[in-house]
Amino acid sequence: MISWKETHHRLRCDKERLQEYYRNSGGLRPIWLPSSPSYQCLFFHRISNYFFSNGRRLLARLFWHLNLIITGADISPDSDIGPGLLLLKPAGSAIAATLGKNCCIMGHVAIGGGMSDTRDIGAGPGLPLIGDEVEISYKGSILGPVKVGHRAHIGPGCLVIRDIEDDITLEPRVPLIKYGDNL
Amino acid sequence: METTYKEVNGVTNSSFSFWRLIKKDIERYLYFSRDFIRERKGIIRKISVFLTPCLLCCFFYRLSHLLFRRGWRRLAAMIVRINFLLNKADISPDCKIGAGLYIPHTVGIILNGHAGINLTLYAFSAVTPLEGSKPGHQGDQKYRPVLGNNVTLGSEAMVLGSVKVGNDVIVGAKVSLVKDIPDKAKIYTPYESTCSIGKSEEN
Repeated sequence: MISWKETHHRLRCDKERLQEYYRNSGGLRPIWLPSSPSYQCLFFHRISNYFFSNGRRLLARLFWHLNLIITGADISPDSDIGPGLLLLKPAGSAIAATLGKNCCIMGHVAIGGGMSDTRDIGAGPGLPLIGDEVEISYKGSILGPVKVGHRAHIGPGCLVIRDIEDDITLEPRVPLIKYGDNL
Repeated sequence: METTYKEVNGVTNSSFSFWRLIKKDIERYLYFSRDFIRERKGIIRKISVFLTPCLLCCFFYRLSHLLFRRGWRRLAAMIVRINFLLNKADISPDCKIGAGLYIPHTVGIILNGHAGINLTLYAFSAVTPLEGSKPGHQGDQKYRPVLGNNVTLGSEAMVLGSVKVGNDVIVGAKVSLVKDIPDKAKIYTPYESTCSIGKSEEN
């Protein structure tokens, strides 16, 4: 059960986080913040999560579909995400998990249940439980009932299927490189 | 050390006109799809080439880049939004890409870096600065990857951070590249073997 006050507070935290990110990065800023897809996807998710937890499943489904069509992010309505999430590239990212506050997700991530293991560790049957201030880079994925500790950093392209402790950094493997003219 | 497109390739994007860039894109598309346009050249078949997401995505990017160069930033941002809604491809208007861009499957493309001619991007490939929430990573938006001529990115490959990639490089599928690469290199994933689960109990 999530109240409207809590939903509003979470959305405001998200907006402040996104504004801080755009201020610090030297790239192009959006002219109007609600026009950026990384704000839109969180806005639709917060509203659909509010309706889902208050028993209005049809309205929750409507906003979930809008999110799928407009931004391309598949964030399931029953996933409980803490305030201050930063989702940079929403197209193609699928999230069904419980996240803590001030997480950072970059894009193309897959966070959700695995193939067969349906144990419940607090987030739902077979879904991962992620702590505070976790940073997940491009194409990182967390699958199955897994606990990820606070302030963990998951590098680009890393796959997590076992538990991770606090303050741990995962890095991708070094690729094989071949040189030559006849390629 | 802010790397620019001019340092690597010697030619800037503005040396070609808008229509010439589009023409080169269409030529490259026709080269790759020459197998299925050989049958019968009806007028519908000719028109339908221009309605493929592959060419629409290139067209919207070229238009937004043209408007950005002329100083119409708001209109350029709007066209980027239309491109995102239609094709789900996130291509920044201020990155310089040479003639002959070919994107067969546009969904989930992230392109935020400079590149030379004949760039090929397969599905879900990403070329971006390494952004992040940590204070050291946040200024990295201006340090973009710079790709040379004739670069191919496989599906789900990514080039992250201020990286220089040389000419004629093939980046294989599922590779995450975070360091500089010289000319004529071929890059693979470190995974070599596969395994199957479930059949061993029957045998």
